[in-house]
Amino acid sequence: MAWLMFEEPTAQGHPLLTATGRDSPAAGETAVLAEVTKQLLGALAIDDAVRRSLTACVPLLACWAQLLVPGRHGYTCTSVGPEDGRTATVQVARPATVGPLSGHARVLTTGLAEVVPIESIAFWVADERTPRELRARGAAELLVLPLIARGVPFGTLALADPGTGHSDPEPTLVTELAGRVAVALDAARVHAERARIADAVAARRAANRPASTPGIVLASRLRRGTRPAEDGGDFLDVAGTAGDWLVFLGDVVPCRVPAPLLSVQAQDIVRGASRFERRPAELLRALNLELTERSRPGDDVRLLSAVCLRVLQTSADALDVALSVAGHPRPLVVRRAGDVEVVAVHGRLCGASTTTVYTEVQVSLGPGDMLLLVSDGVPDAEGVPGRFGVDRLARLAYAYREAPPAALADAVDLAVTEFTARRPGEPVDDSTVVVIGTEPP
Amino acid sequence: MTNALTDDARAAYGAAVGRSDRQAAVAVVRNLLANGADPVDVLVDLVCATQVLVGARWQRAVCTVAEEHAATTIAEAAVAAVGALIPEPARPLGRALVACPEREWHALPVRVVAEALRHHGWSVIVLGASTPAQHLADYLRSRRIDLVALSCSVPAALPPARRVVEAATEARVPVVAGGRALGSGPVRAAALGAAAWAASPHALADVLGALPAAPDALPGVARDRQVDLAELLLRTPEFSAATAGAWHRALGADGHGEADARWEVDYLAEHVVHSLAAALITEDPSVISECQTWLTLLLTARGHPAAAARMLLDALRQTVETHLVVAPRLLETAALPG
Repeated sequence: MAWLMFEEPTAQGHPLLTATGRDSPAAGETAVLAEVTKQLLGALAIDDAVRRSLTACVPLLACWAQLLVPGRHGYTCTSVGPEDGRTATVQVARPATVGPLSGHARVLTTGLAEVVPIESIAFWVADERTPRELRARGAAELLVLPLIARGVPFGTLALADPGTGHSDPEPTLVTELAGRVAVALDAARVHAERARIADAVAARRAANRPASTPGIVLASRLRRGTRPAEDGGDFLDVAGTAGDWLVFLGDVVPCRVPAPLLSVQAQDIVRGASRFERRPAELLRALNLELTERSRPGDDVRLLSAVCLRVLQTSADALDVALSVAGHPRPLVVRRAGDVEVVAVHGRLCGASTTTVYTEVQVSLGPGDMLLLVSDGVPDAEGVPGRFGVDRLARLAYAYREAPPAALADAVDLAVTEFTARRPGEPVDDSTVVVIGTEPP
Repeated sequence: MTNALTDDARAAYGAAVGRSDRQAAVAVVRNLLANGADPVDVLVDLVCATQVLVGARWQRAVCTVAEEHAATTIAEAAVAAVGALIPEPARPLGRALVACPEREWHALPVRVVAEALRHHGWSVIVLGASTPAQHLADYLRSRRIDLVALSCSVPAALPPARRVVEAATEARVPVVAGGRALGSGPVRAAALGAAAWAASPHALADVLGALPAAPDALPGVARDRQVDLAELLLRTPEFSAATAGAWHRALGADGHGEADARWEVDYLAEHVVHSLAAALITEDPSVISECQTWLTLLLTARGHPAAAARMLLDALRQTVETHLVVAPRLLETAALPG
C-alpha cells in the first residue's frame, strides 16, 4: 500500500514498524500480530472489540491510539492513552466526503493511510488538551490507517508514537494490524445487528403479564438449556384483564423454522384469536390450524406443544381454571390439604393435523391451592438415575403444598437443575415452571 | 445504620415474615424509608438480617425448608419495595451484571446487591440464581458490561464461580465477589481470581472506587488440585452415594436421628463433596472446618450425636482416599476434632 502524505514526508522509517523485533523484524511482527489476534478473538460486542483493539495497540505499538467507527448519526471516536488503560469516547458528526479533505476524513474517503500532524485530531477527541499532551510526550505526528472490510473503508485506526519518522512505503505490520482490527470490528457490527433482532424476539418470548389482580398469584421460572437457541425453546405468555387471565405456555419442536420465530408467531396467533374467543380448546384449535396450514410436509413443518389456560377469579380466594393441552406435560393440581393430582387432559401437538380436536377440563382452586405447569424439560430431564419424571415432581409438589407459588416454582427449578448437573457436559433442554394459585389463607 | 431502623421496626418486620404477611412486611420497609432510613441499611440490616435468622431456625430444625422459602418470598417482596424507591441513575457510573454461579440458589442476596449498586449509581442487569458460566459469557460477549458482581452463599458455588471469573476475565471485565461462602476475608475471592472482595453490600462503594479498569491474569490452579477437582466433578453422584453409605454404617443403629430420610442423607453427603471441591479451588482448608461447624449444629438439632459431622467428613475421606491426590490430606488436616 502506498501512503499519501498530508505533511511533507520524512525519510526515516516509522518507529511503529520497528518497535519490536529490531533484530529479527519478521519474527517480531509475527509475535505482535499473534498477540493482537489473540486479544481480538472472541469480541462480539462493538464496544468490546474497540476496547480490545486499542489495548492491543497501547503501549505495545504506540503511546496513544484511537478508533473511529461509524454510529447511527456520525462517528464514535474512542481513544486510549498509556496511563491506566481507560478509554475516552466522543461522538462527532459525519464529515463531508468531497472537497479539500484532510486527515481522518480523507482516509475514510480514500481508504489510503496518511500521516497527519498531531494537532489535526483536535476535532476527533473528547479533551482539547490531548494534542498538546501528545506533543509534550514527543509524538509530533499521527499515523492514520483505514479500516476496510468487505472492500469498503468504514473507520480509521490512528496511532501516535514518540518516535520521529513514519514514511516506510510498505508498513506491513501496522497495515496488517489495521486489517485484523477491521475484520474484528466488522464481525462485531454484523453480530450487533443480528443481536438487536434476536433481543427483540427474545423480549417477545419473555413472559408478558396483565395488570396484577389481587388474589391471583403467578410465579414462573424459565431456564434456557444448553442446546442452540434455534433448535427449540420454551416460551410463556400471560395476557388478559383483571380477574380474567390467559396463560399460554409452549415448547417448539426443533424444525427448519428457527424456534424463536415460531414461538413469536404462535404467541401472536393466540393473542389475536383471544380477542374474539377465550376458550383454551378453541385457541389451541386456531393455533393448530394456522401452523398446519403454514407447514409444508417434509420441508417446513411447524410443530409445538402447548398448554393453554383461562384463569377466572370467582371470589377473593378462589379461581376457576379452564385448560387444554397440545402434546404437553399435563398440569398438576396441588391442594393445600394434601392431594397432588395429575389433570386428566389430552391433545395432540399443534401443527400435526388439521383434524385434531382439543378437549377442555375445568379445575377449581381454593385458598392456597396451586396449579403447576411444566414444560417437558422438567419430567424429561436426564440425570442420575434416569429421568426426573412426574412422580418425583409430584412428591416435590406435595412437600411444598403449603408454600407460596414462588417457593414451589423455585424448588422445582432447583431440583431439576441439580438433577441434570449430575451429568456434566450433557445437553440440557429448556425447562419452564409456572405455578398459579390464590393467596395463601 | 440510621436511627430509623428501630427495634420496633425489626420486631414488626420479623412478625410479618413469621406469619407470611407480605403486605405488612412491605409496609414496614416503606415506612422506614419514608422516615429517612438508608435503603442499603434496610436491605442489609433488616431484610437480610431477618433472613439469616430464618435460615438459623431451619438449621436448628425449628422450621421446614418450605417455611424458609415462604419467608424468602416475603423478603423478595420487601427488596422489590425498596428497589421501587431507588431511582435509575441518570448518568450511570457503569453497567454491572449481577449473578449467582451455578449451584447457588440464594437469589435474595443477588437482588440486594443489585439494589445496592443502583443506589450507588450503577446501571444493573440481574441474571439471578444458578447462572451457567456459558450464559454469562454469552452476555458479556454481546453487551458492554463494566463489572460482574458475583454472590456466593454456599460452598458448592465456589468451583462454578471460578468458571464465571474465567469468563469475565476473558472478556476483560473485573469481578467483585461476595457472600457467606467466601468467608470473612479476601483470600477465597483472590484465589478464584476475582478483582475484589466485598465484605457486604455496605462495602461496595469503597470497593468499586478502587477497581482496576481491566482484571489481572487469573491465578493458576496446581495440577494435582485440578485433577482432584475434575474427578469430583465427574464422580459427584458416585462419591456422594458411597459417602452416604459409609456414614450410615458408621452412625450405627443408635446414631440415627431425623436426618435418616434418604434425601437428607444424600443432600448432606453431596454437601460435603461440594465443600471439598470448594476447599480445593480456593486452597483454603477452613472451608472444611466451617462446613463441619455448620453440619454439627444442623445434625444435633435433628437428633444425631455431636460427632456425626466429623463422622460424615471421615466417611468422605475414606471414600475418596484411593481416588484423589490432595483431597484426603486436606480433609485429614482441616477437620475439627469430633
